[in-house]
Amino acid sequence: MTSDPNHPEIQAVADFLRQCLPFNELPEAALQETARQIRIVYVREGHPFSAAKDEYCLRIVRSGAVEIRSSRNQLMDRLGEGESFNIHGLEMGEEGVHAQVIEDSLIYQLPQVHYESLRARFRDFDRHFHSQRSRRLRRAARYQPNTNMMMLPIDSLVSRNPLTLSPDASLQEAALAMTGRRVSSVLVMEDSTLCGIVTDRDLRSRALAKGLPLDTPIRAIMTPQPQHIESSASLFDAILLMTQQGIHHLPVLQEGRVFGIITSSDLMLARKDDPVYLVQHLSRQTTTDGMRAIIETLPNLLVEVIKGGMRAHQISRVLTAISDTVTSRLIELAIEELGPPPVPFCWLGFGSQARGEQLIGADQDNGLLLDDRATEQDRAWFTQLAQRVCDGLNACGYPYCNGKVMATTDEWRQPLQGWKTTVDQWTRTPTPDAVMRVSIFFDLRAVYGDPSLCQRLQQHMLLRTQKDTIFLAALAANVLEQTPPLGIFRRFVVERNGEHRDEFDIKKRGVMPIVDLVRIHALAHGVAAVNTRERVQQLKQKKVFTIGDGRNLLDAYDTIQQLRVENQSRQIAAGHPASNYLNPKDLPELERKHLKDAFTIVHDSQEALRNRYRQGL
Amino acid sequence: MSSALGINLQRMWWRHKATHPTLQALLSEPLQSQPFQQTRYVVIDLETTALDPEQGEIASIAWVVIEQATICLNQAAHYHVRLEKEVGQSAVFHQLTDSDLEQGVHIKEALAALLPVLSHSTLVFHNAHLDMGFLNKALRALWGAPLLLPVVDTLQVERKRLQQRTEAISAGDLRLFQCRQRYGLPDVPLHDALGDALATAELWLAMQH
Repeated sequence: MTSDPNHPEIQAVADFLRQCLPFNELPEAALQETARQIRIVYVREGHPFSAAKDEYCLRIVRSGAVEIRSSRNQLMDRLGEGESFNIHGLEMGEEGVHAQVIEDSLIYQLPQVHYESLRARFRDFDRHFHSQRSRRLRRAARYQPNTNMMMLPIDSLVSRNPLTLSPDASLQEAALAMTGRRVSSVLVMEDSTLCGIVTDRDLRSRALAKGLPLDTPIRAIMTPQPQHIESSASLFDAILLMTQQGIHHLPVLQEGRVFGIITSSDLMLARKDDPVYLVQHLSRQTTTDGMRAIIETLPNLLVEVIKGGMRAHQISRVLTAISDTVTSRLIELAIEELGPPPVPFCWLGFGSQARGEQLIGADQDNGLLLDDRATEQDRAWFTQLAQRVCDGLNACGYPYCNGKVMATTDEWRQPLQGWKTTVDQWTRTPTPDAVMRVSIFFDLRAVYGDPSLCQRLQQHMLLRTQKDTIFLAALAANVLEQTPPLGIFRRFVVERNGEHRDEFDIKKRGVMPIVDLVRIHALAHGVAAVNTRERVQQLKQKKVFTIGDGRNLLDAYDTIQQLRVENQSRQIAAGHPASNYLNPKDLPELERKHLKDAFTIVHDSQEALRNRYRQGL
Repeated sequence: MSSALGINLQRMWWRHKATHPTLQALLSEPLQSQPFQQTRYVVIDLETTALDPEQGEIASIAWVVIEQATICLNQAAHYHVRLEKEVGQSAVFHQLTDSDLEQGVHIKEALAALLPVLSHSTLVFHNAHLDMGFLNKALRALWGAPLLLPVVDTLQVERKRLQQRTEAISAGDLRLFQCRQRYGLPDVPLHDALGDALATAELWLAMQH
């Protein structure tokens, strides 16, 4: 109200800029000043912008949508509300870059002199326009939040009311008191201050081994002025101190007074909720019910570990280890009932389980590979095995596969020779149906049994596909049908009135296009790895991907997977079942930007794939 | 045609009545009629303490300028006006309080700043009838003459457009923010004179296509 009437604060514009990257970083005064310098134009669909014909300025899309295209008219980016471009800057990076309005747009223009002044004055603002799209994405993929379970304070883990004795107490008194309280250490106190500690080990090595009399005061064997830790310290601090000092008991003080004691087993217990421990816990279950009870806790656990800062690829590794354990345990339980298997076999996992990329809500994709010596009678045994395991998995929360990719289906339960014949058929006549099966089947891994059987099958498969350009082209055509939903961002901007629910399946449209295209390259170049990250690494080593392309693709993959698990975590926390549907509206501005960057990279990689297999398509 | 003649006669008449040199000059300028691209527009919005110029006063006045089809925010201005009477009911609408307005300027100062801005310009309002009523009442009281300048009313433009498409117009359809939505313009939560002037200016740009 006190501002100069001829130099007013333009709140409507300032409020908008505050929501735009990187203007949100500007201090208030600079933001208000920037708002006053804006020049607004309204441009119609089809209107072009180019460095040659338009004045130099930063253009911010207030409403509508704009495409950035290369000199060869390839789509480079699609911008919506709140996103900005400097056509002259882009032109400097790549000649012939131009923009085209694809939906009537209100454009806020910041003239060159003011734009450059902001860049000169504010480093982060400048950096935003400096950095390449891929660089920005890489930072996002590598970003590690520091909230972590290890950073929690120890005070909740500390045993209060520890056993204490005076230094004059005898060895026997100490041993009796420790046995009585079932603890492995005693704090030695003089006038309510800590003066030493005696542990089981001290009693063994300093008293018994030396033959000290039972009435020796514990002062003689205690560790005087022991290492201690403040109650406000973190779990991390405590573990670090214990491992550095090689000790297992740590007195905890609060303002100089004894607060309690923490031992290495307390620290182990503190991590009992860690999903890593679930694997161990699962492997001890003897019933399906017992396993299901554990699996049911997974959604809530997911919410916790995401809060704790665990990354998507770690989460999917743990969840895959868990489903592997459930599968193995079910096979063991079945064998207890059915008797030993008549011939060697291998239980195969396909799809995300094979790749080690499972998340919550995965269904079954499995098969059985038998030794070629299996007789008709033997095969009946395996039919029973398959039935029990698949039923068990379903009961534990891994639903039956809609496409019947399960060991209970005859086609997916065969001796090695039979499998090889099937693979030959699929590759020889790549019908759409065969191609779809193949893309599931070619990600395979031995979950239980004899892994050499699986290896032999995989080798046969790679041999068959590597040189078969027609087959690879058919596979590529199938893969390229699923494109990342870049357009959703444009729609998101335009249809902000809530009439359209712009949800999309982030697995189908985001994750699978990457997995699929990496698989094709892997099959074409004989890469045996099935995990997407490992495949990309090996493809980089084989120089199929440049280091930059490989890194960008992995960053895109990590970013999308991360948003996917975080989205699932939000759904679970809100009391909904975890799904793969994501509404970009639910994402903060920066994440939306990252997702879009990732999709752009996927889109580019698909283009490259299309070009490579064009002759076959 | 006859109305153009009428306006020119009126302008001549009021030119002699006007006591402010800038107001006189404005009434002497030839009436503008150029294509949109070349026309300078001053988009004005008032906040008033009542809907009737006889009962209310101007509480704030803001304008933005369109030159060469571009809204130039560096020429925007926003005056809060010190009231003679108290804010009353309309404070509810405009979120202004009496104490806010104590800090404002006298209406004379605000209008003296506005007049030179209007030179060789066309005025734009959303619902011109209301705002022009208040402006002319104040100008006549201060300097003896109303503003007889070309005026665009985005509300009337939109009404005509909807009528031509023979769409039934219901209450509220012609409100500024409803009009903006039909042109795909973004919602703007703010409701102050400058925000509304800008919102009207953007609407006027969008209407050119």
